[in-house]
Amino acid sequence: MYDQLRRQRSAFSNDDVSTASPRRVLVKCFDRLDADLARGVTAIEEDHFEEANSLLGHAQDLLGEMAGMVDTEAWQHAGSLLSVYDYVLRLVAAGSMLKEATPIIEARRLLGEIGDGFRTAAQELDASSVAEALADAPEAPAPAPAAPVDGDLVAQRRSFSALA
Amino acid sequence: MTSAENRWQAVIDELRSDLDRIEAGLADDGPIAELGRFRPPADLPPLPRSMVEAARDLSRRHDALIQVMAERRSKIDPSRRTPAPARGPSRFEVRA
Repeated sequence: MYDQLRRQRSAFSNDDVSTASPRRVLVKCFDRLDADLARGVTAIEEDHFEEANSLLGHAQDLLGEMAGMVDTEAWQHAGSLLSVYDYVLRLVAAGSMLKEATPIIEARRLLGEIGDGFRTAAQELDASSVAEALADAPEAPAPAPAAPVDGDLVAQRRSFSALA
Repeated sequence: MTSAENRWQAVIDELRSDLDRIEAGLADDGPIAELGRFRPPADLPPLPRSMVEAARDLSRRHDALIQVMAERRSKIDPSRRTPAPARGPSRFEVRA
């Protein structure tokens, strides 16, 4: 069980995440939470409680980290987001304790809606960043001279033949 | 304590005593008790924040017990699986 959990954590904290922008990290958190909760529901429904506990425990840890990432000074809706995280955390804890899928399904639905909002925002920001980067980029250097075409090669061969 | 906290405290206490009973049976090397007799009351409110840690602890303990019981059962009768908890309609109120 612990090996599996370690692998999951290691997969989450790999280079892909450590080099990603903060908004990409957040989107990956939502993706990972969704996967944990979906697999947690399946594990409960199939009576694989140990696996369910690993997955839902990881989801709770991740939710705690995500709540810690919310900057309450910088965003007026931060308090509302924290309330939702808090409610979802309690749903997951209750579902995990009572081996009940219903609150986990509800938690997944709520996080899915928020995650979709962040995914859309991240895509829009990525697109506008690319557009700004292109607009700010210095003019491209002049292209290298074109390689000789077949006709030039024929002419070069002729001149070499003439020298020989 | 709020009404929700009281209701959840009762659930947590009952589940804890259920796990205590099973653990005691395992320690005495007695017959293996069945998990899943515990039935929380219907329409539970959302778990209060103050009880999240207690819920997580019980969840871990429950899963450790399932593991121990499965190992014990496989020694007694390798063909037996750990029984699933009794299931019925959802016991949760979900916030609209």
